[in-house]
Amino acid sequence: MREYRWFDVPVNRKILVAYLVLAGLYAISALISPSFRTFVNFKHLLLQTTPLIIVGVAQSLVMLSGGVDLSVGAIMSLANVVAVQSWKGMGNIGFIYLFLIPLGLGALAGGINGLLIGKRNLPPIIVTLATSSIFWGFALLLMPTPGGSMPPSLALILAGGSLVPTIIFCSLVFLVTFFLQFTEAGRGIYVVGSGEEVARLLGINIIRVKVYTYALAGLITSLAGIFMAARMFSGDPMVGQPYVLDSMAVAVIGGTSVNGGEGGVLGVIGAAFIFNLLNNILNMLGVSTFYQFVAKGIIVIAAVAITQGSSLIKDQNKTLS
Amino acid sequence: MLKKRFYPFLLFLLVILLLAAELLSPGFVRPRHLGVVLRQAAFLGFVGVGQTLVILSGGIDLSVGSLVTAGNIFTCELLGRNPDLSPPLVLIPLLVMGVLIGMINGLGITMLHIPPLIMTFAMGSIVDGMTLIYCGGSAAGYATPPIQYLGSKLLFGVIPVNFLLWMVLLGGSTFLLNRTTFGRKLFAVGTNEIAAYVSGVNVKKVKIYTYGLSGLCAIFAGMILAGYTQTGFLGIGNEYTLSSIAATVIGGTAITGGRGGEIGTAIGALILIIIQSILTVLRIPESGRKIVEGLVILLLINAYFERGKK
Amino acid sequence: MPLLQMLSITKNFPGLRALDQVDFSCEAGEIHCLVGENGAGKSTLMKIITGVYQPDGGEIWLRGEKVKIRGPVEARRLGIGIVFQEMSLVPSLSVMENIFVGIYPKAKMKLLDWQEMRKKTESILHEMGLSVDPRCLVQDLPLAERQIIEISKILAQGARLIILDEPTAALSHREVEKLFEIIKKLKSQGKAVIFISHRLKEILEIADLITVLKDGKKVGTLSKDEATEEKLIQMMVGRQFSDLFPPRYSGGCPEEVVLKVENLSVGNSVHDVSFSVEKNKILGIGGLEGQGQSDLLRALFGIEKIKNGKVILEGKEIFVRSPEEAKRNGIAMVPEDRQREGVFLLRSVRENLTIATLEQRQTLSIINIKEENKELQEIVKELNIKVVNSDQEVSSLSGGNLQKVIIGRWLIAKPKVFILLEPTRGVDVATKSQIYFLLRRLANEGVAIIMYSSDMMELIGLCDQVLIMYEGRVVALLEGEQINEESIMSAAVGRER
Repeated sequence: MREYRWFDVPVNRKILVAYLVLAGLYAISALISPSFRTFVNFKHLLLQTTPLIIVGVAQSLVMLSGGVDLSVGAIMSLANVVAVQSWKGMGNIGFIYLFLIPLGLGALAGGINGLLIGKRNLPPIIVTLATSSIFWGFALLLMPTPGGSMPPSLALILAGGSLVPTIIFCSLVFLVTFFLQFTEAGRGIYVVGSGEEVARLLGINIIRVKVYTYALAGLITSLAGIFMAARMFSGDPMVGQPYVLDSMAVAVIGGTSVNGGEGGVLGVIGAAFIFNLLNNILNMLGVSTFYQFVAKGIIVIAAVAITQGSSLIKDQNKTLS
Repeated sequence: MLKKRFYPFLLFLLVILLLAAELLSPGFVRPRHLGVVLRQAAFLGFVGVGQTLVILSGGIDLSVGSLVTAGNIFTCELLGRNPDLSPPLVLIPLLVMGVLIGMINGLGITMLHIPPLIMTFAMGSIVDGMTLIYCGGSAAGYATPPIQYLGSKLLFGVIPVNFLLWMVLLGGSTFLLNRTTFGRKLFAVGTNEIAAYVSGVNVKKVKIYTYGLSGLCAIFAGMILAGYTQTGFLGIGNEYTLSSIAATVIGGTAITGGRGGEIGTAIGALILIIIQSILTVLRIPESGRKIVEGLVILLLINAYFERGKK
Repeated sequence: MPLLQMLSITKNFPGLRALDQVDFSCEAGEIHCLVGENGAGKSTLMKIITGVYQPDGGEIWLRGEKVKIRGPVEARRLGIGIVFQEMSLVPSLSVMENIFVGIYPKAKMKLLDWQEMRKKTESILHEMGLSVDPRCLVQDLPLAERQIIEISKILAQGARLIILDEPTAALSHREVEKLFEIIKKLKSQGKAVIFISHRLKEILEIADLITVLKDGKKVGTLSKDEATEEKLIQMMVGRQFSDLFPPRYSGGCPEEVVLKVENLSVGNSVHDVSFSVEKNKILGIGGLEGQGQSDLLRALFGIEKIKNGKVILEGKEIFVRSPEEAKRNGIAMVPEDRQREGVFLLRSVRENLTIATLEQRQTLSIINIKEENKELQEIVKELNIKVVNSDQEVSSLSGGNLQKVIIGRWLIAKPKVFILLEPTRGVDVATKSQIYFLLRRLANEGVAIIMYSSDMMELIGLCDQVLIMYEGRVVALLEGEQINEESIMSAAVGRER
């Protein structure tokens, strides 16, 4: 994978591919349907894509460390459910709780993942699958059926227009990229993801890296949960369900390798838009929503197959099994 | 080997659970009631058989839930619309479809080098879509009597027919693992894929067949399940994905592959269903069930990893 | 006062004494080479210096103070750096990042200063004589350059004692010269360099002192002036090894050709290789490590892709694209890396032995256990594998027995061609001899045996013909009396005969 240097800072070139594809898709959509060109449609797409970008960033972080997080849907739902309830009766400053408590919970949940995976060395797939069940259980416990609400003014600010969401996901991507590129802790994730044996030889504390990676991912995921609460104007314990597979797809399309150690979050924005845009195109063409499940699966398979293909060509030293 | 030390522990756990169940809900261990529990466990058991094979080979199958749902809905729709046709005529193509979908998983994993997690998860989505498209979003149809017999009948009011089917599958798969060349190759692939390749094993073929078998088991489970639910239900298969993995892992099969067996999974399935029953008796809502299931998995793999450490 | 002093170091492993009261010392500004055959104890000694192993006896003194090196991190802190053959670089990261991992130059607020990193890396690389863009990814660089980067990394981390483990194994002449320049520069900077190698000629060129190890003991230390190739070889080998090996082929005339290879090229590592294997003769492939020998043999077995050329078995051309196909053609291979490519660690001895020949004892895929038991009994007896029963876990076996299991696995297949890569690596002496006698017996029965070994003595003692490879090509074919240390060595370093 070629790296594109920007003031000596490593930036993954694959990311550009995502944006090119996106531009192309956008052009096609605009040509196909006049209604697409309206601003309303754009706003709708933006709001739809924002949570996907957020979980995509979280999943990218985890994948960079060489793992996977199947509990993103659960953490998102938990945060969502907590958000719509935490501000009740807290008066004017309630909105602080609305943010702090879910975010704290998300970080805690992620931290638990990280500890189990890092310290006890259990495989990420099974750990996050199990914690997914646990966190979802808690979400259902707190709110068995959709309900709750949000302070209307806050909801409007967060999810009413298109400016604030854009600021949210742009600054998130910017901050995480900054973290990954300019801090020792961030680079540590890349080293651990590339190979734990080497990381250990280099004296890196693998447990610590995994804990803060998953904790950070949990924190970010809960942000998506809060956003959805604002958008839906209520809480839903199953809100995170479609996002588990999608987050993995978006991470991969955005340039992060499933094996870890390569990639970044800059491409997530483009990848998420591509994803939703493809679905929107299908909608516009009058294809029933059922086909979107099929389409989603095919897109994921295709995206991963393509990225796997290019990285395999580089592996000249490995036995071709 | 790990396996041999485990079964006593698992059976011990099972007995404790049964005791607890009896305490909390007197009459739990009555034959009639046990029969009902076994009947429920059999469905998970079917899926577990296939999932165990996949996990033994070093992979994982997240498409089983969708296949169970598909089996359920397609069976009901097909039989509902064609009640006069003999069931095998309708169901055999369905089984073939399950095998094919599983083999597509295997192909994606071996040829396109897509990690099993993503491939099977994506395939699950595709199958969900196919199911929705086929039934137009609303489940209908019904399962004709022969299927109902397989799915719900309790012989002598005690022994579930599907449990007998489960035992047959269990016996067959254990035989496959322990006494056939395929079984040896499967263990080899799951233990050390590279060494298996260097020893002349066709690793790709083994994996593709394994995923095919898992698809077969999952769709079969959905089919027999139709005999129990009697009509189609969208999303009925969802819980089976995690549960089949849980049963396998609880049963002592290493998630990394190469170690374990079907009998452990069967006991694991029983343990899970009994825990579910206990929770139902205690009137604990679905939320509690999910939490308990997750905790059980974590506790047990934690313990297993302790022991397995060299 | 010497920089490093190791006194009376002893290290035991189950069934093997790797080091027996070895003394070793090195001064600052000195290039000290460590030589010895495979298994003489060189890497064990180095692993003790770098904290990977703990000595069972003896002391280590560093700069006049007694130390206990508890782990690699501590070794690094004490200024000891090692460049292994398996590198510790992160391939997907850049050169500069690899050099500065853990010691990143930082700007305000602890943020990484990439520009500073690049500048510092540039000057380090410049000193090393390497003109590589610091921002380049390590995975895109050739081995020789990666090695220099590893050295740079160690220096950046403050190493004053630098250990190089077989650094020239896969380097061309020019690259070796460059490496030597760097080593001389390190010496002039007052650093100490320990250099482990097989290549006697190179060692004589660069070393100030040479220490020879044999069978875990120190044989002696020669200074630059005292040392000659003959003296070194004598010190390294000087044992009666004639009893270890069975008598060689005594026929004299060329036999029927079993396997013929014509103009074979594999990837970038094997170019235009041709040879034939005659019946009843054992063919050895030798030369310095990494000259394409492994890839050549693996290609014959179907693991590596053949780019060009023909393989003719018993008169018919064959195309082997996978080990499965190789097996079907009657070709067997014992791989180099037992742990990674050979052993199914948590499975039973039975499964390990039978995995390659399952088809032979089945009906409709069902294994015929009676036949299998019989086969197992026979092979265990024949190879003298120390096993209680065949269902025990194979991990309980010693190295020698494990190797026998893997050989046995293929023996059952009754191959026509038996390829072995480093067949006695990590095997005790007694088992080595058993394996040699076994191979000779197989050869006498008509099996074509091709063997790659980095152990020169093994090639000399066992093989009837030895093919020497250098930079992917065959540079010499030695037969009978021609097979001796001098001719192997000179061919191995590329000198034309």
